[in-house]
Amino acid sequence: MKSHLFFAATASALLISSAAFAQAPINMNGNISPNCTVLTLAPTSVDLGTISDPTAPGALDASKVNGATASVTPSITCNGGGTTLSIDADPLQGPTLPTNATGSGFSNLVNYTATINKVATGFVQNMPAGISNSTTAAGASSGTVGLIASTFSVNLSGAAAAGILIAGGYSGSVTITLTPG
Amino acid sequence: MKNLLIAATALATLASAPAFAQTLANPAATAGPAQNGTVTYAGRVNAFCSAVTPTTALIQLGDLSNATGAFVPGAVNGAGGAYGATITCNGANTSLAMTANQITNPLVSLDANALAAGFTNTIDYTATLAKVGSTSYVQNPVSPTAILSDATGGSGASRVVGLVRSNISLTLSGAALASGNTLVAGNYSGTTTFTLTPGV
Repeated sequence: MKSHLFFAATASALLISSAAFAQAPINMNGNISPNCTVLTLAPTSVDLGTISDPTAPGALDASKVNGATASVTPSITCNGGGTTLSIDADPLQGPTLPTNATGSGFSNLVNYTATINKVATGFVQNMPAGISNSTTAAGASSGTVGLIASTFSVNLSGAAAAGILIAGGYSGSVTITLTPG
Repeated sequence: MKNLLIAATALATLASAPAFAQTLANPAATAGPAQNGTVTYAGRVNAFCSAVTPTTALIQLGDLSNATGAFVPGAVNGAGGAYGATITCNGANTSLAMTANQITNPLVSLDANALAAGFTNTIDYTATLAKVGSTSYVQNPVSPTAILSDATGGSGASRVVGLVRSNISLTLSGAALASGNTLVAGNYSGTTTFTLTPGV
């Protein structure tokens, strides 16, 4: 009788051990949140100098605007396949125009196109060409670029005055936004 | 045998229990904050005026006197003309200065007695610069056609005209002898100069 009971208990213990591994798996679930490292632009302000042509009143010397460069540095890292990159350029704007001056051909706006490009050695999952935004566009330009491990450059091009530029100080801006996703 | 049955039942119960305790909650993923940066660009547009052309112009007044030697103001009044090229100034503080100089006969020197007898060699007048054409624009003054006037004998006139995109004319008016009533015979000449100075 004792030997039967021992056998039964031993068999049952084996059954218990077997059932515990087969019917109670521990599910290890988790997520990696999409994130981007801090974006830093340098320089944050660019002095274009005198942008007017010295040979004609209110004419733009486009070469003073085209080619202006800033950099997103150090390297940005984004780990989300749905990361979006947007660029929004605002025109260079000068002093307020007096009444009726616009109708006579004067302007206080210099339009241009801003483009953000990754550096040649950088990695961006989906960015075959730079993303550009014209200051004449209604809003920002953006794209889903995915994973990023790269620095970027921001360049201005295609500068054009909207008329005879009135004298004074002009300022504009370009804003870059990375949204993890 | 009864004890064995109880033991088996208890073991069966234990064996089925662990299946309820092994599921872990799946934590929700949250995206990190958007990253943004802004570059500002600053530049300057200098104040500039296009050239006034021609830089000099000659207005022939013809005979300033009639057959009896009396001065004819109509020979001076209304004289003038428009400059051919449009003048453009892009500075809101562009200033315009002008000086009208008397029409004189410099070769004649009159002494006090001659002057007292009514002779003169000097003609005064007023010179006026004005916009030409309905599409011309001068910031200041906005509505009048006339921009600036100067009467001879003074130190000149000036004003801030601001933005300019206009053809400009010069017209003489209000001619009168500076003194007396009889012009000395000879050749007379005078000048009016005006200067546009760009300003931001």
